[in-house]
Amino acid sequence: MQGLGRGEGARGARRGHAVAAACLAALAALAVGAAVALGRVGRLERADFVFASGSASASLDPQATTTDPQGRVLRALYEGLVAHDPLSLELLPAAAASWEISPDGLEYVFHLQPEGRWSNGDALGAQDFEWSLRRVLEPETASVHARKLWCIEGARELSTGRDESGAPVPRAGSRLGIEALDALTLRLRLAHPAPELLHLLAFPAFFPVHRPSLEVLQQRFPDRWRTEWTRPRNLVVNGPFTLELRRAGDRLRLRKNPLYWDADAVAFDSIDVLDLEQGGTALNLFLAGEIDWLDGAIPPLLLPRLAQREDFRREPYLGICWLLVNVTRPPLDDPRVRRALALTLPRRQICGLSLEPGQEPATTIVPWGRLGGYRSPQLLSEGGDEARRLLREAGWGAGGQPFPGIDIVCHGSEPLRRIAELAAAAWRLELGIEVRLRSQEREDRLDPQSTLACDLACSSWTADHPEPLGLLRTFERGNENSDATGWSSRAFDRLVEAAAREHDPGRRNGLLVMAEQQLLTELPVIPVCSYASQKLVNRRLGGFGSNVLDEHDPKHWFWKDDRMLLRERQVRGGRQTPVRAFGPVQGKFSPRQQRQLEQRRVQPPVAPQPEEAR
Amino acid sequence: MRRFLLRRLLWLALTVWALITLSFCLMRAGPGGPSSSERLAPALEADGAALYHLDWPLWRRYFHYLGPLNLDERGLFGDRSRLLGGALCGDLGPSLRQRDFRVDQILAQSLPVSIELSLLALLGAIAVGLPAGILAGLVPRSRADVLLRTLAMLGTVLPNFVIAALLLLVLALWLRVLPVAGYGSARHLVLPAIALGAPFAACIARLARAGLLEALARDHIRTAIAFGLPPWRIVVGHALQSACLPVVSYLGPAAAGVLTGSLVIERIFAIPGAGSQLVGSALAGDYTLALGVTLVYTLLVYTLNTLVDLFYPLLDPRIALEEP
Repeated sequence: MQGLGRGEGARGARRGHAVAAACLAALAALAVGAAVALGRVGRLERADFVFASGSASASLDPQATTTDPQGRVLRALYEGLVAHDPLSLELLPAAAASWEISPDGLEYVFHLQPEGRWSNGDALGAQDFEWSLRRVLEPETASVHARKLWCIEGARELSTGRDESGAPVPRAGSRLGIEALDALTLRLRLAHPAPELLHLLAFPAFFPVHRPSLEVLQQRFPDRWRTEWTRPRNLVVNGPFTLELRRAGDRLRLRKNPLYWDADAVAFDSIDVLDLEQGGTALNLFLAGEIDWLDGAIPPLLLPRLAQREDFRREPYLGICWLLVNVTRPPLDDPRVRRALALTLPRRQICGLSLEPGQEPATTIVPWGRLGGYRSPQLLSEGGDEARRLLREAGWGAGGQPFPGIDIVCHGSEPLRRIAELAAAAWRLELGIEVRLRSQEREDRLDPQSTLACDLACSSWTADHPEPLGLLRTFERGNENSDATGWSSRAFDRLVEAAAREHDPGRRNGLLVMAEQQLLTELPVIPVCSYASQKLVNRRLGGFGSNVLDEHDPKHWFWKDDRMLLRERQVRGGRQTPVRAFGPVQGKFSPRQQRQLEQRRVQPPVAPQPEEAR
Repeated sequence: MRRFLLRRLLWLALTVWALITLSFCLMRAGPGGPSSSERLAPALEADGAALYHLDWPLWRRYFHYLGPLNLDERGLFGDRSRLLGGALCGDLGPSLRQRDFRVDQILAQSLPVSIELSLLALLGAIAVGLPAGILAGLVPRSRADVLLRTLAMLGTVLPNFVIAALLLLVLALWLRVLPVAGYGSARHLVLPAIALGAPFAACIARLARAGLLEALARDHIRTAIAFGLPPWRIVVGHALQSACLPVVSYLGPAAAGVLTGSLVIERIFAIPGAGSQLVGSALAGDYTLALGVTLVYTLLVYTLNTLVDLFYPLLDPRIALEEP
């Protein structure tokens, strides 16, 4: 402390005034700043459709796709060669108007839409697809989905530098079976038949990317092009919507793309994708009508009440939780022991106490035991007595050796840990087996080393196409689930290969049933529960199908008008609580739907009128 | 004055360095990486790791991150086309989870939002707290005073997220007069600004009341009353000025408090500010972004505190910047 202000009457007063003036000025500046800020905010109108998704923060580079929620945005911005029907998941023409498959199933020829355009006006050609599919495979892209294209000739060599037997091959020298025959024709040559290929091509990772704009940015910003080219002003797309605005942590604003070849079928002019992770906030927004579709982020405690609402939807989803078994070491190298564990797994209790509500007990490898025309064999039930008998037969427990303890490892998430805990408690009680839980904090990824260091691994799997073949194939020798469990079987591999070569769906399913039967007998994996998707969707939304992939294509969405809503409610009958449907009462339709509606409205009155007059 | 500033700058440099180093160490110790949540073929994984320099030795990653020299293939050890880089040059690297953004892009988009919300909250706090405090101080121990003091006490003891939840329930969900959450128009900022500003308004009201009571008990006020000056002239002309001093000196800490207090509020109201980015990134293991936001917050709070310290001697000449 120094310089006490003594005896400075007049100067002190002046100083006081100066300070007061300074404070006032500061306050005024604050006020002006706030006013300017407010002026800057008050601009963004509500979009035609708003949905919440954690995916808004994910990358808009299709080849960097990792999750399906992210696919929702990518399906609005880009379009692949083929697309799925939102209800039946049948294949629809998209960027490709038609395609042909050679009789041996090894050659696919796609004919592109002649009026296909990029959002900057460039023509969309077969070269774009050739380059983009090659980009998926190139190691520099580090796409997690490269593996899915390994059925294409030369693809595995390009992405790993090794051939099927593991011998190194030059990356540059390998011939890739992706070829643009002319501007509108693309040919894919496969190394082995893959009936799921068309479904795969509807997956966002295989959407095309505009090469010129990407390469320009790569040259201009050699180390930051990744973050530059996905900015609204730089991103060139070929889908029904373009990117208008993107604010980190807030939203993506999508705008209808007038150059899209099928723009006539698109109803919404704008869509907002909000980046919301807070379940409570998102739910509040939905209940207030500020967002129209909410999934995933529903707080579990509120589910029982929300499930009563008529805008609540719960649908089977192609995802399954299972325990991967390490079959390479005792005691779990004995199928009887694995079966005993599978028989005493308290599936019903697990689903009841799960942290992710809506699951169903699973006794098959294919989630829900059905997929299109495919029906899984039913070989597992619950039975403590049989399990104890099996253990005794295998030489463990009473009369045999004492059963050694086993380890379960959990990969990452809290719900999986809960499942492992419940399983461990049940085995301790039913079979007297000591189970140790090991959780992996550091790596939340599934890798064979970590599962093979343990006896069991609690893990989940989700499908990206509606074919059982893709799932069962992961148990083929050299594929991920075979690697993770150490299980393989020549007979199984032959069955799956035969199914891959089979064109007739009925016969293919027959072969796959036999393959699944083998899995369920030998149990390298113990199914726990099938997943369900749960969401709240504004009832007014039309064109929003429910399907097992939980895949939704914004192209088909529209708003129903009040008459359609009323009719729908009459048809469905009401056990659920009716709720208000926010949105435009007169609906919002695509130009094509508008024309059809007008025709329907004009035509019917014309015929009956004369009769009535008579 | 100059020595004071110099010392402050030195401390700032030390703080920032310690922050970066500590965060870097925590980053290495924490679980997960940019590609750890997906299943990758080993070859692909190695490529992904190279993309984020995960294959470099630790010292090289540290100095590359810290700057000011760029150590990648285009920097010191490469073709030297870009020699400078790293956190000290303002290059905070790419965000690990929001892969389409660099940390500086996220900050450029979110920091103005946070500042805007904080400004509004602070201004609202002054606009409400100051008159309330003066009113309570003019009529001490009256009903109005008791009511205002109760409100002020409530505002001080209730955490801002509780206030936010109550406001949401009543104004947004029951009465539906204001939007529930989000960011897009001025109406979206009303509830968050109230929730954020309320504790500060309460504090300002209490300071203003106490200041006014103290000022009114002074000798010169008694003299003024004895001279028969009208009450409004006594209050406005003589008492208010000294009554406001504690309020003004509180504004500095309040500004810093509003800025950091917005972390929770932004999250509740889904406001895309730097605060919600910090919470989100910390939860998601997005270390580069978390560090970037922390760095900026440190700088802001440090600067605000220094400004307040500079301002104090102006308000009260008895306080000096430097100790003798």
